[in-house]
Amino acid sequence: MMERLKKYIRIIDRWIIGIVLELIYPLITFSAAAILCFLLYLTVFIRK
Amino acid sequence: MIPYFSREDVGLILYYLGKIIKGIGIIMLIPLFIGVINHEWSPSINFLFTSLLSISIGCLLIIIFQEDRDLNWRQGMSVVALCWIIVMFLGAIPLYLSGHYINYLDASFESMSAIATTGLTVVNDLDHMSYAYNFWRHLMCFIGGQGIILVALTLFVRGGSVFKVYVGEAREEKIMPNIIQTARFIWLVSLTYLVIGTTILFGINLWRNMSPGRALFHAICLFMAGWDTAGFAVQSQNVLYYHSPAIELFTAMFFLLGAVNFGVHYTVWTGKPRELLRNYELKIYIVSILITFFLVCTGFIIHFQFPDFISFFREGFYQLISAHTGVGYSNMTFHNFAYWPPLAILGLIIAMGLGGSSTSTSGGIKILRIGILLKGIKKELKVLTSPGATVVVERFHHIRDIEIEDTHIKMAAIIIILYITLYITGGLIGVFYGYPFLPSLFESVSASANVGLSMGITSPFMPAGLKITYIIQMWIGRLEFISVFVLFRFLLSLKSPE
Amino acid sequence: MKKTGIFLGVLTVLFSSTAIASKDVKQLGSTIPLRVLFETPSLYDGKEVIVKGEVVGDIMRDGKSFWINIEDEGFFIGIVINAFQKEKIKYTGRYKIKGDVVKISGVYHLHCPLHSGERDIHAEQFEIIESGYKIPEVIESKRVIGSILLVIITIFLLIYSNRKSIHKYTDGQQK
Repeated sequence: MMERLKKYIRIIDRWIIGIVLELIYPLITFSAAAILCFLLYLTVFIRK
Repeated sequence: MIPYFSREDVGLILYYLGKIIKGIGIIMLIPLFIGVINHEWSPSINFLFTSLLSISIGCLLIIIFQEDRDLNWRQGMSVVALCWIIVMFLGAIPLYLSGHYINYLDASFESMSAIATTGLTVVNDLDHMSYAYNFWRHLMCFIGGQGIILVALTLFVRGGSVFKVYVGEAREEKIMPNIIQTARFIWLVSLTYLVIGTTILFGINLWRNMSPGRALFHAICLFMAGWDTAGFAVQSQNVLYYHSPAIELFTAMFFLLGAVNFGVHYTVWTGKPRELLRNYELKIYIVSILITFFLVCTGFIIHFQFPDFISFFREGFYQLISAHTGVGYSNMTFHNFAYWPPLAILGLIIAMGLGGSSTSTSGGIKILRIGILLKGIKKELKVLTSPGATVVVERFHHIRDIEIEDTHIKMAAIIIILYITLYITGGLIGVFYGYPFLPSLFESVSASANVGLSMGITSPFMPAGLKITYIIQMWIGRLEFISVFVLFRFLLSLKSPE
Repeated sequence: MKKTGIFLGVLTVLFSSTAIASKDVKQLGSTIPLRVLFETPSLYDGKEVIVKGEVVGDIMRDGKSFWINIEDEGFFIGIVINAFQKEKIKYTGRYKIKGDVVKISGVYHLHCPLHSGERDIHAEQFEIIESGYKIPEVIESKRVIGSILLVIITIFLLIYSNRKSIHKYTDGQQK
């Protein structure tokens, strides 16, 4: 019984970690794009 | 000698279609329920009518063409291609009865746009549409995004032969060895995110003073159309309606995840989170997003008229990510394209054309094919530049390490060429109807890659011929050619049996 | 004499107030169709405009102010209003409800610097020119009758197909 419970907890644990990582993933992508865009914006701004 | 279709196939195909039509009839009971709890009696009756009609037609087909045989590959493909058309017609009936569409063609356009997860809309006065109809629009997105066959697979149809059918919906990978398990896993991912996404969006809506009922309705609909990269929204202004950067951020998060391969979801969820970093397709995807966004940014250098960085990023990046994932959510109206420079629009068109990951809910060429083609080019270059006898091997990591074979490259190249042909053909038809080239191409790519952004061509008042063109493009684009070709072959061989 | 003075005083106040009021109405006189604001935004960007339209959907909070969306002949724009103005709105357009038609004067922004680049109007004067109302639902009796007929047909077909499949099943067992 305990072992079964432990097994389930481990599966759910993995799920939660997976979901959290997946939720962070788009944020990283967006930040990368934002940084790229901001750099470009800065260079253009300075030039003008 | 390739065997032709015989007339016996017709019965079998119709039998399976009957099952799916019956299933759609049963699914229509959900909007009926929404209508009843909101005391919307007129829509409820329309849904009852359509639902019963579908169930009766389905039952009739099942009774008349009672069969024991399993589908073979070609029959399965024909079932897929046909069932999308039939679901389009059936799904359009309640929409047409709603009175929000000028004619049945418009309702069919909307219905195909929903099930093919495109999001181009020709609705009139969406803001006064009842909850039942509006929910049906979004539910169709969800069904189409998951895959009609996949839905049928998990709910209504039993039997081993259905995998052949499932392949027809542009989902060639089996995530798990068993097809039913795969279908269940896709549902598990979608429903888990449905709960998470709806909760977050519901919270934001509540915090913004919307009434709880409407907050929940908006949250569910936004999520369903976002996750399945459809791009319908509850109100006419799409995401702009909310005037909320928070909603934009979270919808963008969820549709980016919706455009990620379900195989990757599976691997990450089962304790291999490093797949997020190692996956070849994801890497290419991120690079592709950055490159196309760079195009959009450089386009704006010459004519930058935003007051600050934030407003530019908000408008530019949201359109781009929406285009690249194939969603079509937009936080501006198409009038804003008037000041978008051509290079930025071109960036969007390329992003739309490339599309999301394979085995996800998004449309377009799909990043994996681009990746395979790139590897193929690299391999060929290596072969050309190395001495005669060397064996060149190229590998990429997608769930597992895969060695590139010529058949992979060939298939990827064929599909890419077909997609580009489809894009250009639609663009030319747009030009033929008198629209300028860039908007025509934009709209054509948007329809064929199942995106749903519009530069203003798509409206209830566009020519009927163009509507039909876009319907066909959405259909072919969603099913990725193969099953449509098989269906055409089937129809041709019926005409001239040999 | 005193009475006449008071009478004249009251009269002046009344006149002047009507004059002010009529001036107010005059200010909110000619409206610009939203179509024009969308098709030639550069002409009106940053300038005060008067628009009218039906309030649709929800009233959404954003900090201390509120967002509404108005519709004018198929064109939509977001309006920022304050809590006081919000109270005036009774009906917002949705199914079975025609929303209040409002007339708004305020500054039009193509890219509002306060709202991270949105196209909006910050309402200064706000009045309801047509009150909204409930629209009764029309139920077509034809469709009701059709549905009832279909209920019968469907039940018949379902029973028939079930019986057929049960027959088949038992046939299979006998063999």
